Amino acid sequence: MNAPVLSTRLLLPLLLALPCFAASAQTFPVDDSASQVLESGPLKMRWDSVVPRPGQPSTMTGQVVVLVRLDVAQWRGRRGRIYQRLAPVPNGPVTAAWSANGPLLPGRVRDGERALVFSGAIASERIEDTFRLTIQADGNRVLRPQDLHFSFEFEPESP
Amino acid sequence: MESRSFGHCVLRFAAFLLLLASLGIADAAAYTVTIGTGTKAAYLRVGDGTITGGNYNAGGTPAANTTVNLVSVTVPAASVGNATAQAMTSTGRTTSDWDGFAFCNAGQTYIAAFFRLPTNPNQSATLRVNTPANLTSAGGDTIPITQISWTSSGNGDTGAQPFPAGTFTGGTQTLATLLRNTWAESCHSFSYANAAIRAAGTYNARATYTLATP
Repeated sequence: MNAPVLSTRLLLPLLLALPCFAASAQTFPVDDSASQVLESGPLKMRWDSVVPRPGQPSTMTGQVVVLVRLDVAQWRGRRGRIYQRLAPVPNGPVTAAWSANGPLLPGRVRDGERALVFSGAIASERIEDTFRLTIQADGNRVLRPQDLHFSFEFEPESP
Repeated sequence: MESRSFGHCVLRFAAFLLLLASLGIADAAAYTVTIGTGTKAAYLRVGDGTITGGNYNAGGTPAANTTVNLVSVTVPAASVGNATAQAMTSTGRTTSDWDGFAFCNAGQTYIAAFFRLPTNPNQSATLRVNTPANLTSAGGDTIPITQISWTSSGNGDTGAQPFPAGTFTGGTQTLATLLRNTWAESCHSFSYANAAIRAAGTYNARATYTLATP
């Protein structure tokens, strides 16, 4: 009569672990070292509201152009999704929205999160596009120049 | 936008890193955008002022204005020293640079201040005024500056004024403190107390206003 009890104890951790395996696809960092930010020095940020009303956040916004160059040679011929991630910012929240010329998608991301920029078959060794980034941050929290780290990651489609 | 949590996937995540290392996949680069702080700004207008490109709430830019406005009164001979306050009038412009509204009435002195800093919410600026001890005539006669006082108002305003009523004390005195990011404006109506008989003449003094920001 003890055998079924032992089996339940062994199965329970496995059952708990299954959703973890099922929910998360494998993610690979994409080499974007050839990307180029067309801005010398800290990005000039402008207040969104000249005089914010009481309780209204003192957000500020700046725009910058980024030449995005992704080395996807190792996934050529495969299908999958590419995401852009914005690393967490200690003085956040920070949001970045961008337009794109294609083949990458326009989108919007908040620090600590990621957004889809490509879905489909990888047809070449390199993907290039131009992002016009609009960055918004809380001017009351950014007290000195702040680095925002963007990265890309690839998730292959399951066969 | 998509947020991901690895809270209950710690063991699997560690195994994934090991797999990457074994495959010899290098760490990918990431591009970096450095954002600057918000621009600092301070604005003070007493009497006349200049703004270009529209009103401030429409993107206008304040410009330096070196005009020194005159606030004056002529006391009728029969009234000199009778302790009846005499209203003074100012020569300055009376419309608000915030939105062009006729905030003050003719003869009043428009006062506005604003400052902005990329800092924590508790910072405040201080408006001070410096005056000599006396108004002085060409002949050397004097009237104590404490004989000049003002009331404060604003068309359409119902609450307390940011720059309240007061009396010159001579020397430097604090008129108000301002929270950052808040546009403050008032209209001052000056008066002369006329408390004593004075020698005939024109008496002058200059009041200099200063907005001190953190």
